[in-house]
Amino acid sequence: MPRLTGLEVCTAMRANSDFAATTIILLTARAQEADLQRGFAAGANDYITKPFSPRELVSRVEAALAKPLILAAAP
Amino acid sequence: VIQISNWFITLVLLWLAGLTMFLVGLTAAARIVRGLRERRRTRRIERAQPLLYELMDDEEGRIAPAGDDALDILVLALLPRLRGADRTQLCRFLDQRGVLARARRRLDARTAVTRAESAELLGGAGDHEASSEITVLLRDRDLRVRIAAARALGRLGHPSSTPALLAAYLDTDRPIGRGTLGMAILRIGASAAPTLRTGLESELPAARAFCAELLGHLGDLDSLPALLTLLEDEREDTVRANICRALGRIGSPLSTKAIALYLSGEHPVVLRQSAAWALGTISDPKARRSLLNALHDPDTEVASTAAQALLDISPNSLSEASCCDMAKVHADDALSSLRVRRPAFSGAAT
Repeated sequence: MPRLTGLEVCTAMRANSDFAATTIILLTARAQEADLQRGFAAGANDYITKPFSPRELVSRVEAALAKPLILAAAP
Repeated sequence: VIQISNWFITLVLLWLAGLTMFLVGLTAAARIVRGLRERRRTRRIERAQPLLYELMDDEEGRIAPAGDDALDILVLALLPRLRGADRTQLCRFLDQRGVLARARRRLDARTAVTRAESAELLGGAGDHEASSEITVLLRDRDLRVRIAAARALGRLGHPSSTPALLAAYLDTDRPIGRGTLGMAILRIGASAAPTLRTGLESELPAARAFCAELLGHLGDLDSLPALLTLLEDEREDTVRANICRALGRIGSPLSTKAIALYLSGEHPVVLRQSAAWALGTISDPKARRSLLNALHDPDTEVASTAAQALLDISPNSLSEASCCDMAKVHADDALSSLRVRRPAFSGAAT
């Protein structure tokens, strides 16, 4: 990605009130635990490391999309 | 002497000021020229846009405007997002225009950026003729070119590229990221599986672990016997952990018994956690007893994964966990997580 890294985009989105509630899933080849922690610290909702299969991506996206709805419905 | 020195210093300062002004002017002029060129390019591309749609309907190949590359730029940008007849049509256009032949010649260009761009272009356009030349670039001296070559081979999707991509994974002199190579092989799809099954017999643990992981992602049921045999014979814990996860992704209950053996305490954490995760993914009720025992695991991550796996099998599976305080904590934790993930189970009892 030119100019910004994915983590920087993630941080910038979280700082912007228009995108603060947007679900962010990081897709990355960085699989170390420290990278994962940095991703979540930047505001990502989920973190998928490459290689991944389309099936796995779909199920993670479904889980991420279901979460805000369920939290909103909770008493 | 002092007076001459002052004159000299003044001259030098004037010269430096002049040079600075000249450089500032030059930079500004370059920026203006670049801006104008960019604007002209954008206008040309906008003018070519309607031609692009005509081109996709042009089955007789009437449209082949010479000279102007604006349409080439549009076609190349659109191509990765297309499938089917439109894609074939646009690839034919690029071939007629000589864009693909030019890119093939540029695969051995002196600059790395040109080699990488050419590989990307040929991969995106699905130019199978360039496959062997792109494979050579997996050993290019520049990392960007090697990455572009791996991605291009993945896009081309020919199973004959799989051995070269696997060899590139094991090449420590000229490495390419495992993520890039893994995604390229997964993009080739099920036809890469026979080579990956052969890779399970490799002498190198890294190769066995990588092949197992990819077979799992492919959900290759045919590799089940080979993976189960390897799980039994394998001595490397990281390979065994990868096999457990692969078996979990394949999802056959035939592997439940073999995986459950690795939940016991004498195995390292990475293996116990992978086994618990795999059993949850398979969701075979026969794994309940082993997973309930794993709730008492001294490692919190393993116990928590086991609790989650029990919930994946059935929301009621955790009811037997209340006998032990820590097991109850993990069970409750897993249940709260499930309430968030699956509202249908929000009434499940611990």
